[in-house]
Amino acid sequence: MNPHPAISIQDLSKTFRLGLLRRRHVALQGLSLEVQPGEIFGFIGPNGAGKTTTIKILVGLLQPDAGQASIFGVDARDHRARARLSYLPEMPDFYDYLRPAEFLMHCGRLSGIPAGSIKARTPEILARVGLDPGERRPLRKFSKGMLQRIGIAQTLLADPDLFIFDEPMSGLDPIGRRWVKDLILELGRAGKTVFFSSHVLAEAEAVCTRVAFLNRGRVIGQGMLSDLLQNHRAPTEILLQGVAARTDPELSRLSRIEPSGPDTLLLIEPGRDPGPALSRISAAAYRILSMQQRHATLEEVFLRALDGEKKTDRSEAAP
Amino acid sequence: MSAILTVARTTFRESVRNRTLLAIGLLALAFVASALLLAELALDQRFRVIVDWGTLCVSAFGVGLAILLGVNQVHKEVRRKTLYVVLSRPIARWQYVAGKYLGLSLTLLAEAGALSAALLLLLAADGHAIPSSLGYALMLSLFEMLLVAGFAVFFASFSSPYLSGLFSLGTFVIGRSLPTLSQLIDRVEWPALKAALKGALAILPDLSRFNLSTQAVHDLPIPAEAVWLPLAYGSVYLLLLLVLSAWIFSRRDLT
Repeated sequence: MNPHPAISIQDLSKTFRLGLLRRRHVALQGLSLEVQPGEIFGFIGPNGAGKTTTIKILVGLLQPDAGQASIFGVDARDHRARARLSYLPEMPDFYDYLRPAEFLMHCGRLSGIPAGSIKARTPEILARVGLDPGERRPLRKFSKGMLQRIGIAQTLLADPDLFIFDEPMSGLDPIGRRWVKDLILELGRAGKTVFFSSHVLAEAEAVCTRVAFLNRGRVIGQGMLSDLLQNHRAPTEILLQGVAARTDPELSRLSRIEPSGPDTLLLIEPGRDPGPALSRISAAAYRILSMQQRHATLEEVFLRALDGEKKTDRSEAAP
Repeated sequence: MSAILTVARTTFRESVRNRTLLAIGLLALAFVASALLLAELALDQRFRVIVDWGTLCVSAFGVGLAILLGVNQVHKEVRRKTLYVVLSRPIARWQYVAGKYLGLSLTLLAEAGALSAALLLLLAADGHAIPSSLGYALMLSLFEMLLVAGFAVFFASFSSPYLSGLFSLGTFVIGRSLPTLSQLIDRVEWPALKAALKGALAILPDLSRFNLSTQAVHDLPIPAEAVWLPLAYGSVYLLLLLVLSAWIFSRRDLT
């Protein structure tokens, strides 16, 4: 049992100075979170939220202005903290003239793996990421998807305890995204910790055990995925045949009405009794095609967290 | 040590497989070979013309390559993010700088070594004996390239590629002209300005010490201290440059 969290971040802040005028850009402001060993942790947020900045601090590419970040209890600024992690950058690019086996040898040696062991494992690793073990073409001739695969191969080589992936599915086709999702789940089953950033919420929802929402450099919500989804129920959806109900004033008062192809969708907010709406449907003789009460999606939970943050900001800004 | 050698090997591999560098190398070889054409015009001065032109080509292409590689190697890795998978591993940044410089030096030695070998072959093919003074001149010229590459890596650790290139070239030009500049400064009448200029010159490397081409062209004897003193001076200078580069680079944010 490891006594330390896989990742611990306390009050992390980072400001960049941009352009000739050295304009201040606050990337992180007091960010705190913990990731326990064995978790598949989704770091969710829109573009520019500070996900990549946080990850770069974790892997030692950036220094924080304030706060602390540690990997299995070792300060992230210490290069020894990186002995137990592997990192895949967003949209990775690698050495033009190296062949896959040479690139893996380069990465493996830097991780301190003996050359013989790297040589023996290379065909297996390449096959695991779907590349030809006999591939001799230099990396500059690889497609974006193939580069992503070789990028993941270099993370698997050292068999670390912690995988940090920055937008691992960006730029991939549906088959590639599916493959990455399966790989993350496989790593989770093997007891590895996976920390990955994404702004594609449906993909994160499919693999995470826990998530944190990030916006403008702050964590605006976090928790176990199952709890978040259950605590945030989605509206009750009633699909009515045809378009007649779209202009019904009473239904408009009782629910939100949206077109759904040739039919009409009524959305009744969670916690609100659907009875009156159903009575009105019955009285007006609208035909119900389907009715369902589903759990919220991660996207809905995230958007609500964003709304909540905006309301807080407005109330703080009000005199 | 293993991390340094790994970075060095990859740097060397990437450089020697780069087609642009290969083309520059072939162009440099053609320039060295053109010494034979120039020698045709020189009547009884064939040896001097071949050595003069040949050493000039070796030095010019070598220094140009040192600046190009030194500046580009680090910037390219940052720009293309290839550095990220290196520095996210358990290696210290000084190891990366040391490895990068070592790989760069190996590339320079390979290219400039090939040019020097071509020059020696050319002389032999033209029926001349190879004087030891030429060997020393070429050795110091190679060392000068390594020093210039050190400057390029140093400037690249904190400034943009264009500025790094400009600073490195400026350092080379001033370093080669240091004795002349020193004489000019002696004529300055304002004591404060004179002291400031003398101070600036004291920081810059005296690269004229590495230029033995006159002795090689005229096959003059070269005393031992004219070789080991510049080598010792250059080694200390280079070490300081690399320590400074590593220190600056280790504090740098890789955005």
